[in-house]
Amino acid sequence: MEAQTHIAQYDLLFIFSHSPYGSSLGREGLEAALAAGAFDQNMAIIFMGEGLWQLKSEQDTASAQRKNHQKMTSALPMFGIDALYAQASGLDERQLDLSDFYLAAKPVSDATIGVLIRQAKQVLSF
Amino acid sequence: MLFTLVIHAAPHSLLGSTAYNAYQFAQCLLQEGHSIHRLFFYGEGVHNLNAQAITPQGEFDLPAAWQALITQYQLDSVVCIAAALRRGVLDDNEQRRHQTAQRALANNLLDGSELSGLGQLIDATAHSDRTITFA
Amino acid sequence: MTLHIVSQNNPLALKNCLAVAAADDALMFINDGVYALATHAALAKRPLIYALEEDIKARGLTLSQTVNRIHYRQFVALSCEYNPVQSWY
Repeated sequence: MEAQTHIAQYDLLFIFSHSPYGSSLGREGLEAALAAGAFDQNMAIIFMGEGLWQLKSEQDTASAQRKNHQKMTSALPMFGIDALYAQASGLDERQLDLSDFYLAAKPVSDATIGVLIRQAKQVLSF
Repeated sequence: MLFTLVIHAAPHSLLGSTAYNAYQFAQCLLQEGHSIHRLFFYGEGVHNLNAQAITPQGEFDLPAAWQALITQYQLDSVVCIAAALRRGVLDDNEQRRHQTAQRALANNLLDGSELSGLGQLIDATAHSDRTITFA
Repeated sequence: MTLHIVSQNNPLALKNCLAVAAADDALMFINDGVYALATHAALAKRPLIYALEEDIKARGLTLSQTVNRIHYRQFVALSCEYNPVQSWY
């Protein structure tokens, strides 16, 4: 168990664990997170599992006729949302690394994610 | 204890539906003396409050059951407006706003719930002891 | 301590849940999530495993004795006892 004192506490934690285009979850989670940012919440987002694909750079949706998830997600810092975490084990499994991402996210262990969740007041999962 | 329930699941969907779980959980917690700060229907969950969904005879009518629960306990029931419009669940205002001569639309949001924005979800998490997602 | 709700029989969701759940967190299986309990024998050996009786019965499952089969009343009680509540699906 890691020292819990070094892991931040959030009032509202978003867990994104689904891919951006396979369902409406990616889009709707992002819209909820942007709303929370607009309300100035003490919040963070954890990208894990398939949710890591949301941060993959070079998304070009013009020919797929889909709204570009990357463009929307890039707005997070403008909404004051800069506590972004990426599941380190999930990165390895998908042969991704942080240089594949268009936004800076902090890699964290599964144990740290567990602590982030248990220290959070509320969790919304998408 | 004060709960907010976030319902992503539709009564009839590709994935096995937790919409029934959400309803029974809500009913039970109220019977146990707890309170609901807000029901927030998001994503596919907006279909729970579609007045145009017809349930076959002999089957549990989930939309009607939600409406009865909401009325009985005077629950604050909010349906995400963006998610609802995309999926064709409209209140009176939205029906009039989007209807055209070429496109007839129904006002099909069950009475007792309202369409509103995602701010209502964020506000609810900040004012509840527990927020539980059913998906 | 966190209450983890597993509501679909989705291997990726279960994997995420088990990766982050601490030993003193509780796991609650509902809806198709109960199939995960039927097919992963090792899961039932973990402490603090709960599953919704109504959903087990509906699917005609027989689960390990170590699974705590509970009704909605106890599900509500668990969600009061633990905080926060995280759903995996």
